[in-house]
Amino acid sequence: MKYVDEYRDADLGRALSGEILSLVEPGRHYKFMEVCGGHTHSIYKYGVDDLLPANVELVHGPGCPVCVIPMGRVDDGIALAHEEGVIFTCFGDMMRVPGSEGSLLEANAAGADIRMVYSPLDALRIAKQNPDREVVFFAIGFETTAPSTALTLKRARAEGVPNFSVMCSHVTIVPPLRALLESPDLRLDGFVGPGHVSTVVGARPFEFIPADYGKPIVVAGFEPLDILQAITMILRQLNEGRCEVENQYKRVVPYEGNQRALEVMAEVFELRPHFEWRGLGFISHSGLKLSEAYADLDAEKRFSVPGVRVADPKACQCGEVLKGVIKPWECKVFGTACTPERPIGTCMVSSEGACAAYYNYGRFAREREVV
Amino acid sequence: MIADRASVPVCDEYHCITCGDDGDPMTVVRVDEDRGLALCADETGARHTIETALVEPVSPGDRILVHAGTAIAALAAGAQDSDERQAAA
Repeated sequence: MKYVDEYRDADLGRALSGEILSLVEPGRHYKFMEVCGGHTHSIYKYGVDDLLPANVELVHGPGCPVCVIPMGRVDDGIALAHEEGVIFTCFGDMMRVPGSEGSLLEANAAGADIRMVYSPLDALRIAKQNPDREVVFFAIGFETTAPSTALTLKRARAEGVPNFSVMCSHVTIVPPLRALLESPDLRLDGFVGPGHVSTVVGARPFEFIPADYGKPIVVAGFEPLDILQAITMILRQLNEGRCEVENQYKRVVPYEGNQRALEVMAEVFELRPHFEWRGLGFISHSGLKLSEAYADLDAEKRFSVPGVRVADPKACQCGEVLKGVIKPWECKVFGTACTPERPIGTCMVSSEGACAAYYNYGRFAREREVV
Repeated sequence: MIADRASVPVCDEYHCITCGDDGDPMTVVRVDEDRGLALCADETGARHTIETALVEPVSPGDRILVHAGTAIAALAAGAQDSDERQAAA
């Protein structure tokens, strides 16, 4: 398959694996964080970690938009879904994220009209097909997804669809990375940067990582060879005493990003003063809400939502997993009380979450090690 | 080929294309300029209506990267070739 097969070539994979082995210093332990949940998924799906030397450790970052949604926000969504006459729409994984009293999927079973959509455009289409109902789209995601929501809001305005609104929970990638880098218990040697977020924002916003924190970052694609090559590039930087932003994913990511996407986001959204992240707490200027110009399409203004903060379950260690302090299997409830079928924490809900990715793929490799 | 450890279909209990920050390469089949939309075919041949405002102008045969129903990047043939060389290096 064009654009895919080239990046899954086993011979090239072995060659890159050998190069990584030649670049690491024996006796030094390397910790690299892959920021994006898509990378986490690929690493476990293709066994990329099996191709790395034992002293190169991959730490899974906060880049899964489902994993970072706090329980109170899920409760707000469920409350909206139970409003009279509302059709509540959201992406697939969001359906299973536990709130304090169940998930959207359970709310659906209890009678709320909740529908899974593939894109915000699908939600707008449902609104046009159901003019006597209010259709709310639960918008989640980083800058990759936010332009899609923004364009849909502009389209709703242009086409005059009065029964469509958005509950905006979009987040931005730079503030949580800065918060992670400020965390005293984090020890990292470099970052594998998010590929498709960078398609929108470009690679330039990550320049603060080498400049302010002295860590290299390589923006990478999602195929196994992309990730292996990014690790090679980070190791070369470390060995050559360089520390900079590099772009491995040039076939898709322009260094300056997609200017049209940035413009439409600036028109439709504005930064929230604070936004709560599961496991990371409140981070300043890390979430988006609808701008004043689009306030009439803001579901949180059209309806009343509880807006109550709910503490994460005590047994759940998603926060430590998201910060890379512990590995998924080191969580007290991993694979026992918390499984993809009955998740306690959001990292086990989304297949891009570190816990679910490891549960679905990585545990088999670990079982082999144990044997 | 590096083998998949499991078959992972799109947007089901094993994978969410939106949450995974995925980008699907698609080929433009037909353009609806008035509505800012294009009919596009994915790698399996399945067709989708895609928002193209961020990468316009597009023409039939163009390759685009799609996330959540929106084209977020144009896949330029030149850039692709150069990246393949980089990946092979």
